Amino acid sequence: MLVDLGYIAIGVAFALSIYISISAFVGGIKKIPELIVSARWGMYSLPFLLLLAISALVTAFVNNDFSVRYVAENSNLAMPQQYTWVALYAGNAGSLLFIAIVFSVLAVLATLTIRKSLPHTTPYALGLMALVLTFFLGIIFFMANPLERLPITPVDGQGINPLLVHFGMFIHPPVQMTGLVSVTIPFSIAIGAMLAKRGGRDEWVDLGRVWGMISWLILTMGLLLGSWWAYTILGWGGYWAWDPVENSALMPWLAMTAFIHSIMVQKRRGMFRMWNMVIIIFAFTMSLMGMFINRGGPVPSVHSFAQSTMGWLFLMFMAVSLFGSLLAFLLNTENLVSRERLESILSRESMFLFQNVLFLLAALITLWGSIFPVLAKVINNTTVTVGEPFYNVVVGPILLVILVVMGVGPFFPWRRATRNNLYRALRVPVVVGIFTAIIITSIGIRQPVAVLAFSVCALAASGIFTEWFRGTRSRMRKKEPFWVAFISLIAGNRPRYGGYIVHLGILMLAIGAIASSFYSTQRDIMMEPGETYEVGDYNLAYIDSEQKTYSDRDEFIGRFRVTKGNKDLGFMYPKQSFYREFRISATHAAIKSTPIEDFYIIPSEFSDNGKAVFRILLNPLVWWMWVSGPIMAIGAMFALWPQRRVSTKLVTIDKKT
Amino acid sequence: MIFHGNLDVTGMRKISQSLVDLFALTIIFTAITVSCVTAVDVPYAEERSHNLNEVVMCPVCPGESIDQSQNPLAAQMRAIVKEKIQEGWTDKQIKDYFVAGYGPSILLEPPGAGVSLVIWIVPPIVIAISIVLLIFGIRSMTRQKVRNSLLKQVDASEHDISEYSKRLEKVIDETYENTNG
Repeated sequence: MLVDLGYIAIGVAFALSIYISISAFVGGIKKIPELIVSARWGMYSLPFLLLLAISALVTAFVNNDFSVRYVAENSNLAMPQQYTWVALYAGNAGSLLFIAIVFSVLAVLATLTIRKSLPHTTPYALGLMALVLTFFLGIIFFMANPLERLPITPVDGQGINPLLVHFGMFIHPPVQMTGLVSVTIPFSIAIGAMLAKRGGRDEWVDLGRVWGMISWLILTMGLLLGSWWAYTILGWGGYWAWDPVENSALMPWLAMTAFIHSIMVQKRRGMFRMWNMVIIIFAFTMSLMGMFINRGGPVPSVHSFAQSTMGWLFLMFMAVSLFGSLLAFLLNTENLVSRERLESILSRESMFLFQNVLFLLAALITLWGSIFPVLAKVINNTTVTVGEPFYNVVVGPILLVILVVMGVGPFFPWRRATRNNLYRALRVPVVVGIFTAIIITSIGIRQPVAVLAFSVCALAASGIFTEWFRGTRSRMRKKEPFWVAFISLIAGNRPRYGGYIVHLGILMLAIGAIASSFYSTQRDIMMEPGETYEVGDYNLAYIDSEQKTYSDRDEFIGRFRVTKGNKDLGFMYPKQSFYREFRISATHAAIKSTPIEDFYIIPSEFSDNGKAVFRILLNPLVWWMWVSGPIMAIGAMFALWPQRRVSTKLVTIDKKT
Repeated sequence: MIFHGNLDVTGMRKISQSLVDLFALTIIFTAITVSCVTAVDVPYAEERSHNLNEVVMCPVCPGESIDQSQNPLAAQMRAIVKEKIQEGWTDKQIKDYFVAGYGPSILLEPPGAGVSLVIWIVPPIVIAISIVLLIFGIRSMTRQKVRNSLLKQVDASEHDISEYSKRLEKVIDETYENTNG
């Protein structure tokens, strides 16, 4: 009953989204406020319709209603109860429905935030968002309807890909999908402003920046959670493999990173108006590309959980929206001429421009590497694999230069930097960078790239810290205690100091990535119960193994006692599960994580008497990568938190009196 | 140019202050990286087989190297690598052995010859082009004429737009009154 109601709701939502896009555009162009208002209320009602559909689906999962095709394909009686609540995004159709509902909620929030402050832009933005929704709802309704019934109800379902049955499943896929689709919001605001011929007024910039940062933050969290998931479950001790699907999530992130920086130049100086449009169009295209590669893209990937044949539809939608928005851009360039001139190459503006170009280059080259295998197959019928070595050689150096720009860029003043203020701002960071290089080389870090990368991180971080020290000290001269001075300093300019906090998070991420890719130790060893083994300072004793049989899987659990030096680290339980029906084995690594290093045991190839191959990894500084996530989130929210307007009001009163 | 730092007492204090900063910061960063130094001796043969495993793809598991994959075939191939190393084969011989069996796409790294050469050539070209574009862009941006005042952008339709905006506001307010009241 509920299922049929949900089915109808999807159809109604599809029709409604068509109506919204037509009435919003017509209302905007012909200037008929009644139409715009009705489009807006249509948008407000969409999430409720989709909520009905999604609750029908969740209910079907929880009640094991295998008469619904999608439930039968992605669940079974053996599935743990708590996973039935989230199994809806394990497959293609359900995850599309999930994308649609999340996007409709975001679109409502976006409409609510822009409708008063951007009355001219709103109808166009509304229309664009509704067009994207129409695309998704059309696909869901006609091609991948998760609420479709089966002619005959099976007794049990086929079950879910066991790799997905993990705590990470609750968060990584939905966050990643939300991130990809959320790029549509800043895109709609920017293009909407341009279509309304208001692009030259910069009034959209504040909200465009806010939504750009929200989208950036969600994408960041999606990527980090995905890496963390890979690190703990995929069982090879790494977190990033330059896989096509991983790349497809990275490209929009790179483009959005460029956008949230260059938008500040427009906010502050009225420049880069065309450039920002180009970047946001690129970011939106990349996010559609991401969904395309994920939905049955042509490239083999470990992540192809939601494979389908509808990839070409996404590709077509991507092509149409790319050409459409580029055409609109070319027709509107005369409204997008800069207010100000670039005064000097040594300025904050040009630093932002370097940053943009570097990020876009990284994204383009990643795109090139990801699609090259397809091109080679289509054009020359050769199979080519493009993997980590390519990206390390080509994208690696770009990322390193980005770290340098991140370290020095914020210290260039707007308009024009003089030699004196660059010297004053940069001497401490540069000297710290050089000292760090010398000291770490002398204590034994000899890998040239690692030395360079670590010293650049030291430079960038000390730049941020010296600015904090300086600002705090100058406030302390006004007899403020240290903490009051520090807090009032960073609260005084939230976008700037929030940005610095995010930069520190990025540096933590970089340190973790550099250390673990250059200085990870891996041992593959065969052990029998009762044996002990030494890796570095660690001593591990393989005590025994246990085999447990469940309805859907066999688990092999090894028990280890680990000591480091004289310190007892307790027991560790690496685990391997074999899913009989799927013939897939999943590993659960046992990890002892400290800020210094992770001690990591992965089991494989258990034989009868408990003899097994274990992979032992010592991954230095990986802990910092996972901690960087919350820090970046705090920084981004800090930067977004609206400044209180009270202080400015007080100043105006002062002036009047 | 204005010089702020006079060499008086405050100047000296500033310098000693920045020295303290310098040392504090350097020590923090060096301390963080120390854990990379604790080297663990890995037997040469194992390191070699690990490096090889990382660049040989598993033929049946999409997008995974045999080092990553849990597939039984990958485990077999790992064993082959180990065996060949013990028999004294070079890295190149082992790679060629897999290429002979599965074709060049078994290697993670695209070979620097034939069609795959294209993939290596394009990125430097793209980078070079964007540097040139950047230089020209900055040059033209430092010279370009700009509209210095917002007023100049007001076009003839501005009057209509503000009329429209008033009407829009009115409708919005009316709907609100209706829904709230």
